[in-house]
Amino acid sequence: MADSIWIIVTASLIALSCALVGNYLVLRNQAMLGDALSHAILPGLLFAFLLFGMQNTIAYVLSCSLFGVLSIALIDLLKQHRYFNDDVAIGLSFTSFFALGVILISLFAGKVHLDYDHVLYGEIAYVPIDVWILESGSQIGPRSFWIALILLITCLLFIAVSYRFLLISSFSEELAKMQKINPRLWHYLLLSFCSIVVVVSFESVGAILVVSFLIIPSSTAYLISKSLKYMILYSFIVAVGSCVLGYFLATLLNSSIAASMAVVSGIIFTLTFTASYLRKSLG
Amino acid sequence: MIESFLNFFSFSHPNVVIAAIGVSLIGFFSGSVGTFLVLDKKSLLGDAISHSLLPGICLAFLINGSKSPLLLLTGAVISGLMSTYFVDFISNKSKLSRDAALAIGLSFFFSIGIMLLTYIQHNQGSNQAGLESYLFGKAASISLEDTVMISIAGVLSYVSLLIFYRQLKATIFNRSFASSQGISIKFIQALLNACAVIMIAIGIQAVGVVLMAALILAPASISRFYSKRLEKILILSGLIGAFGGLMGTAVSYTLEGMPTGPWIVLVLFVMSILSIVLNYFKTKWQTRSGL
Amino acid sequence: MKALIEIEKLKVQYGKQVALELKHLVIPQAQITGIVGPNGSGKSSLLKAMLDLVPHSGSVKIQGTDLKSQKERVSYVPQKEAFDWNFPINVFDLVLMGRYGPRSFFVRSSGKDKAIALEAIELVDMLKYKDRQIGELSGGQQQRVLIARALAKQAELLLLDEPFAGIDASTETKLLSLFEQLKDQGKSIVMVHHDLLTAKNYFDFVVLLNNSLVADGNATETLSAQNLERAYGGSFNFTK
Repeated sequence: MADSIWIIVTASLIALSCALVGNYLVLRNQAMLGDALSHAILPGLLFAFLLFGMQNTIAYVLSCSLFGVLSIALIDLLKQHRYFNDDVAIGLSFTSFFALGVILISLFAGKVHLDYDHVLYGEIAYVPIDVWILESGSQIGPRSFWIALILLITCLLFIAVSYRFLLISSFSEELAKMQKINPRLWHYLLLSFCSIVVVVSFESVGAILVVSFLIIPSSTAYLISKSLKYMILYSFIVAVGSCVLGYFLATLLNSSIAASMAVVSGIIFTLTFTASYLRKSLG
Repeated sequence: MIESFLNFFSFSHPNVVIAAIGVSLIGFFSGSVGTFLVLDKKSLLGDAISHSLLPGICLAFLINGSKSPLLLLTGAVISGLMSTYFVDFISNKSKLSRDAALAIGLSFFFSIGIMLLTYIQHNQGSNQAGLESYLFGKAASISLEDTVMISIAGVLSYVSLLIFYRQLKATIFNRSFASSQGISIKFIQALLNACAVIMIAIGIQAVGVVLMAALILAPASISRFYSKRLEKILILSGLIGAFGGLMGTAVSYTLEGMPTGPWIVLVLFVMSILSIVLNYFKTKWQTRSGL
Repeated sequence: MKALIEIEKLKVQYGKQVALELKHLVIPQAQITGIVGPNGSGKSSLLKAMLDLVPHSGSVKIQGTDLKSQKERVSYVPQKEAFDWNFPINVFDLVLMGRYGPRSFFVRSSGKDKAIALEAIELVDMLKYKDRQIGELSGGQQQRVLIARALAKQAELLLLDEPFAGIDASTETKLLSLFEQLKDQGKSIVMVHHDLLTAKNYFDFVVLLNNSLVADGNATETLSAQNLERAYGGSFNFTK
């Protein structure tokens, strides 16, 4: 029972951090960029594992964030050319980084105790979670919990400090420049921060499911809110709700916990969307 | 190692030959349909589609218990098509942008797929081994049956695209004008979506779900450096796709035990960068010679 | 003045916003008609509704029959801002698309279509650029090519959305004399126009909109100070 609570709470903390950053991605039409980021950081994982070993969280956060920023820089570089519009630049960048990551994993799988299946679609996620179920939770559970909590606090601090800057640069580049706010700088800052969130979430939910946590609760909130503050609030509610309900779904079906949480968030989104659409067309 | 590489091209092993043909065909068809998607600015839709194939594959397996390629392909195509409607509906009927709609469709469908996959793994034991190969592609395991299916599905889609080529070209270039000419935009979009879903569904065998987007968008983007006319670009994209597929498979064959997908993507990435660099020097040379 | 198009009870709505509401409007045949009005007054919506490009209620008829079933008789020049000029086609390819329709299959066009396309390119004086990729053209050249595409259809009614926006004065004059030429051949031309000052000289028939019909008729009467005030709000003083 205690284990279930640890899992749900840790997942909720992760989901809250993702939702917080995700709101800005949705507002800035950078949802797919978030998806690209979550794939592009893969080689960073390997570098960190190879050089510093598995337990060094700071090393792999920094390494992955570095690769995240590099991939964004590559996208911006490619976009300069007229044959590479936005989506082509994004697609080429993240697939190349991801491919590099998969190759590195295959080359060094032995040394790193990683199964690339696990890394990529999230079983690494519930390996620690599974371990919580099988062993006594106190040794491993709290570590992930504390990391998730620190992440959330860091996110809240970052957003609180940069609230005005992010708001203006998300709304209008021109307005930002007039107010001496550098939109480019905030573009990179936000996305670097997003990389960090993705990396830390990665351990719990896996590389590929992170996108659900980043985008789905925020999009749901976007449908029903008229101000950023409420959007953030609603996204939080959806995020936590998905974790709670998703956990029970996973125990019911004996499936991946992270995936089930993501599925529940998708279901909540679909219901909200349907309700909103019906209200508009009938009301 | 070089011997291994050359050995691949000696085509002495029938299995290797079949895999090589299969991957080249996949590369050709993906690159071709990718031309239209790239110009229509829909290459990320290819990414969303490829992720959304997973639940269809798993459901098909669950319902039928078998792993017959045709069955799994059908399941994949159905969920792939559903995701295109899902994405269109969300972006057209709400204030959410297309970008958000793609990310939602992609992650929702994919997470359903992972949920089903893990359900299968935990509840159906060893029967499902190999379903994961759809995640990264295992070109080496492409059988004769697979290659036949690739050929048939690929040729059917390609021919459909050729039949409606001019209408596709007009619609992608300027939708309102094409509509005023009496061309059915709904039909053309549906056709392109359907062909994309089919090509992607057969393509993931080679590169897997996550990397499929590269096989769709890279060949066409590379071709644009070498021709300014759509007809030539279409052909070039097919050839570059085939080449990338073949080279990637050759490399992964040489370094045993590697999945093919990433190597195909790397080959295409290198070709893209080379094209940019060559183009840069070409324009520099041209301006210097006063052209 | 013979009537070509009859519009009855037209309503174009985007969500809750009514872009255009017209009880009755007649577009004359073999005349150059200008649609003017402030920004957002529904000018583009009127064109798009005529072409059945946006959902609308009411009827648009060409000499008694619904226009949407007679699309062969109408040709369209959209705003040039909406295009991807990096698209890999040249001038000839673009104009040739004016010959495409729902029964265009496969890749090659017929010799006849190609000849008609060349004629249209010549009409707008772009023959020597026919193999140029469209991104390499100037604004005025791009507009001419778009018009050539519409002309290639050889339809009796030509609808243009802001054809003179962002082009140089000499192109504008040449295009206007081309339109006069077409009018003499019996073609009807309707265009959305942004410049009130030139409207008086360019058009035989003017439609003044402000999300509804403010006035229509010949240029001088329609563009009276009173009507303009109703449409634009605020008084107007033409200094020339």
